[in-house]
Amino acid sequence: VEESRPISVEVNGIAFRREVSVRTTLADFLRHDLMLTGTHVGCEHGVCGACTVLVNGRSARSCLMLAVQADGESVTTIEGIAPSPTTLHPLQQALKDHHGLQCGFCTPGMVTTLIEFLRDCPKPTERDVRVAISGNLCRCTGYQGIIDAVLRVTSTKDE
Amino acid sequence: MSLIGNSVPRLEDEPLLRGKGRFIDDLHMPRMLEAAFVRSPHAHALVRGIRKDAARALPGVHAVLVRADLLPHLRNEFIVVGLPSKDYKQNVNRPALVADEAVYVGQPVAMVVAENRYIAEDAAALVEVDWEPLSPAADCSAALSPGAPTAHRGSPHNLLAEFPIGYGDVDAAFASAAHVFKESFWQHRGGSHSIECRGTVAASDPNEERLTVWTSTQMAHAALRVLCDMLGRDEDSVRVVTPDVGGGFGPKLVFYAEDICVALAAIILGRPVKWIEDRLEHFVATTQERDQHWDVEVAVDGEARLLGIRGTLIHDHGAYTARGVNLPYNSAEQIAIGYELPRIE
Repeated sequence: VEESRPISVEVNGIAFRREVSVRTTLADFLRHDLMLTGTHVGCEHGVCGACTVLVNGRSARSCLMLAVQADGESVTTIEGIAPSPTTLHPLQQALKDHHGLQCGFCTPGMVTTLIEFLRDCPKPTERDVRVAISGNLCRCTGYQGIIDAVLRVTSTKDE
Repeated sequence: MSLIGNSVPRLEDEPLLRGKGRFIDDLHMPRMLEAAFVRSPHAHALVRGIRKDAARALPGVHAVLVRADLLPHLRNEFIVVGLPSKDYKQNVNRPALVADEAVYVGQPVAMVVAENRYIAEDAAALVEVDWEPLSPAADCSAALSPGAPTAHRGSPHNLLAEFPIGYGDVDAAFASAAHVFKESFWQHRGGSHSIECRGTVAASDPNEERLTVWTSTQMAHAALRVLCDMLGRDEDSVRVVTPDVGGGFGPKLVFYAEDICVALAAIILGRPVKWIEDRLEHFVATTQERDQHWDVEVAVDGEARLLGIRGTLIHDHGAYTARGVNLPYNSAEQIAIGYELPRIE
């Protein structure tokens, strides 16, 4: 019988108490137990960045973190970024406006990574942005649309 | 509104940006089971036996399926690609599961279906396959040498197909050339690596006698046709659904052994079954590009204008036909596209 433990975790502002297998990753817990499938799993090695979520505001690979390690913590996923069902976060809107996504599979990890980055670095240069997303792989966009979106949202690049 | 000259907003952007996309692994349904595959660790090996008792005995495991379990449900156990060519010298179609000879690293030999993927992988590790390694054909150039080990035991040689392409009098071009340059190139193999790997979910509805297969494919209609051919069913009893696809880049054009196995598991077990490819599987079990050896000569006039190109291309087709001979055909033919090239052979 698999060992399991109870955890208490806040996800997108909602408190959850769940019994989880000790080997369940945070990504699988979010996706399978809470049905928050916006967090995507691309490599399960911490390489591609698609599964990135915010844990207490810090970006974390949810494929490399166990659900039991999130006990007592506050997690924000892509589902918790937009302020309302009718309004996108400015970063999400900028990605939409500047073709910052195509298939959209890497997008949740890009957004969560960049939310943390823009909080720490509100006026980045293009190089800063490139370094910030260097741990998030995208195969469709060639990255330029994503970088354009970030620079427009921070107004460091003129229209 | 004219679509020409206007930026057209994409309908899918908003749900994708909110985490509300619906990719293959986002599908959940009641009573759904998850699958993991046991794969060949050898490039070429005989399967002397498969012992599944230990895997089957693991709590949470519903089935360990091998070829013999699938055959009663198949009209044709091979995946026949619908790209015929008169240039084939042998037919090497992929089976659903290995019969007695695995011919590439990663080839599926057994399928475990369990309550969840964690248990399925535990059980897959308990499936004991008695392997007898054989000599592989690992380099497509060396594989053409007389007496080279064959990729398949029963094959007379490793040449799958041979064909010319070209136009114009190439010999005349070289005879009149001011300069001729000769070079050999090795275009190495590459993986396409969509950030979303492959994945398939299948559910069989006995009330309506309908099989529904959701799969991360670029070609839903081809998948439908292959499923019907293999299962011996009419198209109105099978439905193929493509959810949001997280990148394809070519490999998702292909119908794979895992797709038919997931469909069969859903039919055999009477429950929805999901298989999601992990990245390691994508490295070994998903189609890749090239491994091509080129020997080419180019003829130019005194002002370096192209007169002609001639040469040979050896293309690694893999152990099976997962796609037609269009890949080497396109490689050779498209050399001419970017240039004013009067002659090629």
